[in-house]
Amino acid sequence: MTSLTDVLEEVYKLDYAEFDNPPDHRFSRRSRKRLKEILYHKPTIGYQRSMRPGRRVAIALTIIAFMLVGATAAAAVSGFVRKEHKDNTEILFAGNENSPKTIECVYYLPEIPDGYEFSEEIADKWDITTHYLNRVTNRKMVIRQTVKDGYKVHVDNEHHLLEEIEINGHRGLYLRSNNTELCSGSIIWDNVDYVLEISGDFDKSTLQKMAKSMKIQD
Amino acid sequence: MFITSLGVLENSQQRNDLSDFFVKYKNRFFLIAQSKLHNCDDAEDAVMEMLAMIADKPNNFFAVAPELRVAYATVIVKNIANKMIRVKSEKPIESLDEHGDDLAADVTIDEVFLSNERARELTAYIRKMPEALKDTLLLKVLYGKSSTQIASDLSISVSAARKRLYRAKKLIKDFMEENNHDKFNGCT
Repeated sequence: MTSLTDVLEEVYKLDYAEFDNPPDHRFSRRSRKRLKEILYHKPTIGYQRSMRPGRRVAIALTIIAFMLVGATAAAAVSGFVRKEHKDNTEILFAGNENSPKTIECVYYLPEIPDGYEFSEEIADKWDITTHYLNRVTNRKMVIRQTVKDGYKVHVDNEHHLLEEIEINGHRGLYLRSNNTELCSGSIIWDNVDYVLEISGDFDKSTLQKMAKSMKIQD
Repeated sequence: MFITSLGVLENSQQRNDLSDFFVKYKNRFFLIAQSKLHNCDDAEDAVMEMLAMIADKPNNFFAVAPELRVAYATVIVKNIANKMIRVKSEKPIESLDEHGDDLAADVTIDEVFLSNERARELTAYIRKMPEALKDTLLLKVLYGKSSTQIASDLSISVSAARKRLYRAKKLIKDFMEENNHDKFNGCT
């Protein structure tokens, strides 16, 4: 006997059979940018960057106001400015005047961890995000390089640990979920020119080692 | 018409899963949207809108069994594409929602069991049903979604979702009765 569920599964299969082998389509830069906004806007570890001048001015004013007032709920760490909110920590970058306004040189990881292979790259002139996938564990590693101007991170401080670290003499942040079932962590650091980030299912020392090994592509 | 809110994925695992899902099926979703919209930019917009909807309410998506997620997302992206067509052509949102069905006399089709021959007949019959009714039925039966959740997934009112569900079920019930089905319990 066949149930209605089986019938509907068959209906779906037949209705969409013609789409089973679609040709490869490269999404436009606009869509790829939108994809990044969707996936990374308000994640626990993520960022929002707007290139609108008004937003830049607002961020700049926020930083200036913060520095003048010296709010008790905020702290400046090297290039980072941390603002503590009720349920998240906002991280901005100060002193961006001399940093490149677009990606002028590309950083890469010389040694990809065992089992990982290149999956996808989403890039524009301000940001390069490279995805690697371990097909055995189905885990993903993400490396991101972005210009400092307008960069902003919101970290969910209720469910994440934030620790200040050092990468090749530059200060950065190590972020890890409180949820012990999730082992993914991130390191974000300011290497003077760009903001770099490595995220993946690795312990802190492995992430730090990878971060320190990042090189400029010839 | 596009959702302006951005993703509120709850953790990096969800983000990775959704990212992987997109990479795996983006071509399929794009092709489905393009088959409706016949325009690359609009089709990309429909796919991005689908992704934004999932990211906006990730629990709806992640509650679905992984093997059924592609069908679920297909229903959503197709619905978005249909909406874009209606907006462009300035047609009313969904005329079949306007019929004043008496929802007090609900129809249940929870216990339908058919021989292979009858199943084939019903499959062919459902394939010819209006898309809006078929999608609602799919969400209800295959995913166990409530009227409220269906309304949220299809961006329609709860009342419209109930009406579509009622009409879809009634069509099936009528079909089953006309065709003297093997076993059909639960009709009221």
